[in-house]
Amino acid sequence: MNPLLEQFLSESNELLQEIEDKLIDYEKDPESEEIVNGIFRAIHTLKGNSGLFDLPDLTKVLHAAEEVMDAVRDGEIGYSAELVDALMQVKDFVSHVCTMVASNGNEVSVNKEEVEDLIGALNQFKRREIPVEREAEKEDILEDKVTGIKVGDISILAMIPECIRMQAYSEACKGEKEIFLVTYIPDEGCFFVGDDPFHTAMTTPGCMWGHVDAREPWPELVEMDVYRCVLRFKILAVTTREELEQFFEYVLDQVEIEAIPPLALVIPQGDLEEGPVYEDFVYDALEYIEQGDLVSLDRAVESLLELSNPDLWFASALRWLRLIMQTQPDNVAALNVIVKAMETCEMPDWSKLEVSDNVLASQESEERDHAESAEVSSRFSVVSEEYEKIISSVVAAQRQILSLKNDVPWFEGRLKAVAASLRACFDAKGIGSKGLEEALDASIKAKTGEPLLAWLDGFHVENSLDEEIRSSNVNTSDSSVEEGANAKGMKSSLNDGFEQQFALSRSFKVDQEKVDLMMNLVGELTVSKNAFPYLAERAESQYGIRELSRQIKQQYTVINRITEELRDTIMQIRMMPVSVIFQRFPRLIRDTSRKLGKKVDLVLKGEETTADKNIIESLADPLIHIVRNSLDHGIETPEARRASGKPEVGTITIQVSHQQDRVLIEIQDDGRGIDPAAVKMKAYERGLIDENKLEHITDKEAIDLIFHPGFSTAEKVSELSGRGVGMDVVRTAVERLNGSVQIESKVGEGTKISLLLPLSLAVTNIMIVESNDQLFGILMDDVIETVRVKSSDIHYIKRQRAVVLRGRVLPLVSLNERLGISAEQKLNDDGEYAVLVVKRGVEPVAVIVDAFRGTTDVILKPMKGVLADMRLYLGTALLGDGSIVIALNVKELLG
Amino acid sequence: MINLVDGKVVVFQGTVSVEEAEELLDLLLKVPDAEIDLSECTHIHSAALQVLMAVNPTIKAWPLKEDLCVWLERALKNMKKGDGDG
Repeated sequence: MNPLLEQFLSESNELLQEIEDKLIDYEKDPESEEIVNGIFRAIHTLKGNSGLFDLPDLTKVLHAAEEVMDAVRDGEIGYSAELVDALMQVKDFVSHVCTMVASNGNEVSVNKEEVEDLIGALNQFKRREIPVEREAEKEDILEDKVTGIKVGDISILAMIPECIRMQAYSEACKGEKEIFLVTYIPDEGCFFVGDDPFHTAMTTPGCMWGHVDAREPWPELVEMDVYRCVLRFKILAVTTREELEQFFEYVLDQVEIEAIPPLALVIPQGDLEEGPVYEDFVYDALEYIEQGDLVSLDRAVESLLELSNPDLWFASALRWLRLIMQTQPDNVAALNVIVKAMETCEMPDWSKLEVSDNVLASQESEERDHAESAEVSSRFSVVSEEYEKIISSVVAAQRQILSLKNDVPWFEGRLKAVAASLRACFDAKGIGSKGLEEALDASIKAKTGEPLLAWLDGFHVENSLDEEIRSSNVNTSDSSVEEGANAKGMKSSLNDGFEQQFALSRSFKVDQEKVDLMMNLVGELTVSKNAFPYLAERAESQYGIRELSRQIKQQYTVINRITEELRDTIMQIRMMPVSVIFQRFPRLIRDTSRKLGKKVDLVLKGEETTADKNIIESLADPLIHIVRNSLDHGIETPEARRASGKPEVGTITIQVSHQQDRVLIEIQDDGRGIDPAAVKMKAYERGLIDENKLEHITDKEAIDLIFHPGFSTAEKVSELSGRGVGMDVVRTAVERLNGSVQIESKVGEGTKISLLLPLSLAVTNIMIVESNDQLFGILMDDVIETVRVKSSDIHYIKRQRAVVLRGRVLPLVSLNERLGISAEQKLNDDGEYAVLVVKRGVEPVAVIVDAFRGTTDVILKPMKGVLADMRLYLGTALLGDGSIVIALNVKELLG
Repeated sequence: MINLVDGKVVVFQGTVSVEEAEELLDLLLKVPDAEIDLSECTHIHSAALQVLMAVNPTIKAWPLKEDLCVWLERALKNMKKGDGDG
């Protein structure tokens, strides 16, 4: 798959998720413009991206959705659950197509009918709503639109041929008329009231240029409704607003009139070609402008134009420069901007243009100095957010420098440098630096940074500089450290400041395979590092070199530390917040509860809790299953809930938290709970338990029966959860991740299912035991304790061996016996057995082994190929001395 | 007014009215590879313009009337079929 497509798919997933989230938010708050805009933007981006690939159906559907959202944005379509349904379907469709693309490449077969249905469903909304007359509101919008140039418009302006733009520019510079960009979107039914929008557009007063296109994809010709107007016009006119408004009087609600500053039309176009000649020109031109020598500048422009190919970008820029010189010779700022743009061959900077244009609009022949200073301050009045951040970090750095010790000979110079930086920063922010000089003098006299710091603090408050400076402020308390170390520390904490600020833009995507590979390599490193202690032992015992042994051990501790840090770091990379799977739930609950006619609130807690990516991903399905179950079987219908005195709306709470080195996920509902009696009967009917058990089984054990394979209490097979996959699937999935499931339920009050999972699957802590000269690993999570038991302390209850431990009778089994090894377990020199107490479900069991070999961290490799089905073995791991240990599945071993 | 000449050229004359839009579409559906002669056309109603834009046929001759020619060229030249929005 090519990288572009890959990126498209990955971005699409994110956008689709965003759309889904926002749609659900939209349902909750249909009035929020922000949400509506968010949905529109996401769909718009997705559509734009899809256009890069040969996916016409996808683009078509997205286009229709975009149109609908656009209408929602304009208030033409109001909120309805059906609208959200339709948009959700679009999301699902796009998601489906993306999945197909991901697996089959560009060869995608889409069901045309589905596409038509989707588009049809979307168009329904548009036709149903009749545009409301909202003159007043529209006018407000018009007012707003007059100021500033939006980036989107530049692309439209750039479509206009240069000669027309120049003509419009010259006209507007005469002063009586202004330039307007009119967007005319005629009403769909306008033909029926006798309108001919094409005629209207063509006869717009002062029309210099016009463009017509369709606002939605053309339908199949046979289905085309020729009397539904789908045209959209863009007109560039040089005239007055009154004249335009008068002209469009009857269709004022269908047009958008936007004033365009003349300089916005200055868009040099053409082939880019740089050369020394042009660089020299820029240099000379700036000088001429500075000296006010327009005659020389004009000469230089003319001669260079003669030499240049008119198709070049540079020639175009020169022509504009010439035009500006001719029309507004006093507008030095504008001349500067365009010449500077030539230096980099970039678009002239709009933000500067805007202000320059104000200069022009006032039409007062201001002093040149004045114009220049206006240009300077304007440059910073539009400081971007990023710029703000940089300034903030510079100020924070100065603050820290000021708090350094004054024991260096260059202290005075340092203070001056700080003052200069601060002055530049505050000037840049356009708030000046009153009182700075005085503070600097005071600081120099007192030989301390305090006065400057005090000034900085006071000044901040006065000018209410953004809090960021303070919050991103660096810790200034480490002045007791040596100067050198201090400077170093400052540097790193400065970097930290930057890192925090750019954290978002600095994150990047890495293929999971690469991280996995890294993890494997670290795993190998961990194993090879474990060889050092063996080596040290051999150096001492075999070769008798104690010193070497000691050094190896020393070196080992260093490598061990680095390896562990490395491992932790990579594990951190693999960590993901559980919110990733939570994202699906709002939609799931919404759709499901709508289908079932139930009312459910979803409460998510601890979404920021992190766990390994593999764990999170494998958890998704079991969690969905549990939530579906809660919805289907747990939460009652609103009527039933009312009848039992509960609030009509049920609540499902999903709470995630860390419990030591594990993740605890609790899914709780306040539904009808699980009836142990019903479960018991069901289990008996299904033959899962016998009569004897039916009588003696506790309620808790009964409820646990729902995890039994093939168990389902659903009275009828429903679309949602009664599909033959019971809770046993959940348990299997969780246990595969070395986790456990617990269920608590009270009839009438609700059910709580708790999943306890390891944070990471990468490293497993195992206890190594020896039996019949072989090594076996037992998960430390399964081990309760290790004890020595004298052979005389073993009792026989019927034929089963047992041992009394801490006042409890534990069944005793031999590992050799369980593994089918005929050898007897070995006793140690004191005639004691090595006994491992492990968990089997809730009951502990004692297992006799030959010897304990300590615990170790290993990378457990699961069994592969034909061995994969042998559930007795969890996997194999390589030990430091190169030997292989097989980890045993205790549940299978004792089960 | 529109006329089919020689079974393959649709000639536009004078003003093409809103009533002719449907006729134009039918004609272009019947003769999918028809060419369009706009030279004597002075105005096209928006509805008929929509049809031209949707069908995107080959234009044999552009209008002599200058402003109409400029508008139509921009609307019909280089237009990718089925792609309404950029």
